[in-house]
Amino acid sequence: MLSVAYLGTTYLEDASFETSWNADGNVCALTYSRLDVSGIISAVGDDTAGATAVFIGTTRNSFAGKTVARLEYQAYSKLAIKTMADIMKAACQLVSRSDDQPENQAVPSLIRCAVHHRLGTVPVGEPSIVIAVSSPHRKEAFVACEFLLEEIKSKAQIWKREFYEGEDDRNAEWKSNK
Amino acid sequence: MARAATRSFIKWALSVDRVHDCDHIRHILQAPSNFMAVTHHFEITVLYFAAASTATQKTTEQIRIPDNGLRLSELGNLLISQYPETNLRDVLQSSQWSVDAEMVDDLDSVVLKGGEEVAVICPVSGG
Repeated sequence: MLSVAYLGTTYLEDASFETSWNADGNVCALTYSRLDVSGIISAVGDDTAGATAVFIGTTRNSFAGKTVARLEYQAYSKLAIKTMADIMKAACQLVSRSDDQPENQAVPSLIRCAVHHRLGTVPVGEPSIVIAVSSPHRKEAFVACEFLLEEIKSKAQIWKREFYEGEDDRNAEWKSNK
Repeated sequence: MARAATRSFIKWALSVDRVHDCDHIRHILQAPSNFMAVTHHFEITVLYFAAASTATQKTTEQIRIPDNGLRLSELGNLLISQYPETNLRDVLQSSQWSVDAEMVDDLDSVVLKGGEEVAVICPVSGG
């Protein structure tokens, strides 16, 4: 099994790999590349959209009085991408009809969703997650965007380690969202 | 009628085909040399992430399991016994398990047979 030791963290080159899932224009992706926010937003763009909700999670420079040097993310990619896809399908079910549409009229309330999560080292100030949701109306876009974020934070098999300025990398802390 | 059914049941129970269908009995019947040759079937791959990989200093390893299988609920103690000087016990206490990339809710319901990919799923922290 190939694994690469890097700055005190062992990357799971075999298990924490880049991957993506795509269905009906909805996209989930895990990537070691820097996230292209405007590219992700334009990818959910559509002439039938009246709203695009976007969430950008970035690396904060402090935690409990300590200065954060960088974050490192790893994932069990094979399982995490399935979890993310299931969450995205659930978001489409949850937000299935706009209140602004007549009851009996089948209008998709979400047009396209995209969730991109970065893996590997993320320097302070750079995005680690970008979520974009387009919808005919704002409310569904906001609801779906928040649902995607909260569900992914609590369920997707992705882990973050925080490295602090002036501290041994061995003291770097694996975070927990619970 | 009942006697005929009983006779056919006994015939079925003693049939060679049925014995051959049962892995457990087949392995007992096999000669020791053959037995050794199939031991690689009784290994699982364990993946460690986050705090679990920090504790074990490994990202993956092959673990030998008993040839009659291992209940997933027993794997934790097996691993803890292999890493006595670490905090793996604490890590496992707060973790979940996946088998072949599916989360497992009831650890007692899963018996590992060999060949599975089992992962320790520490509390997640994406986002």
